[in-house]
Amino acid sequence: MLVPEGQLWQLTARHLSGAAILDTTRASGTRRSSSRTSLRTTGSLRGIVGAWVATVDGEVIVAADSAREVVVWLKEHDRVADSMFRLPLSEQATEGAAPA
Amino acid sequence: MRFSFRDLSELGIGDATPRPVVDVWLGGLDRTPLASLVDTGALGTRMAFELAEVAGVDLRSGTQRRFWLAGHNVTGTNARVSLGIGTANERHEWDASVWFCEPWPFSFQLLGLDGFLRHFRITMSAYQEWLDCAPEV
Repeated sequence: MLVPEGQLWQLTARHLSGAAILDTTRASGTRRSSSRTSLRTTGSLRGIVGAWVATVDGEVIVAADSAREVVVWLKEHDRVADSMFRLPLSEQATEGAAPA
Repeated sequence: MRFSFRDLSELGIGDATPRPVVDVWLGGLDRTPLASLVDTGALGTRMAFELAEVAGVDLRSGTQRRFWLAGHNVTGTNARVSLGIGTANERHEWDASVWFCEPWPFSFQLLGLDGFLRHFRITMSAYQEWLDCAPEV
């Protein structure tokens, strides 16, 4: 399900530690000071575009190719996440082509 | 119940404008709520088809329809499900009509008129980046 390397636009490779990556790729990010809900990871998001991720306190704790894998991981590790969503597949997706 | 706007740029993806996103609990999924975009222009509430499978939602008798979502032609199957939102101090659950769609290339689930907006009185401040959801009584 992962997109080709050429479509990994605007991603920033960062160092990985912490998030469980349930595929063959790596994960991560940084924290930005903001009043809004802050999301961050401790590794690089490169290669997990389109993945499903679960977060706790704004930090990605697991990433996988499917929602089922994320939920199974949460059950196996007896974790309850704050949120789950899918990383964008494209620039258009992050800029919000609002569905009707 | 007040929720802060959210964007994905914190994860190093793009430079998106923060949007009104609410974490919604789908009945049958007890390990995580689903980040869902409040879309005042959407007629219905739509979610990824695979979430229905994970949550054990029975779609066998659901109405099926094809429609366009943000340029994507998707097939949706309708079901009545339990949805819930909450904060540390408050929680609200309701019975909702949801379309489970595939393909689903979006980051968030979508909360529209049917299934979400009709159940709440929404106050939103894009300037201050929050929205408040008060259950209709």
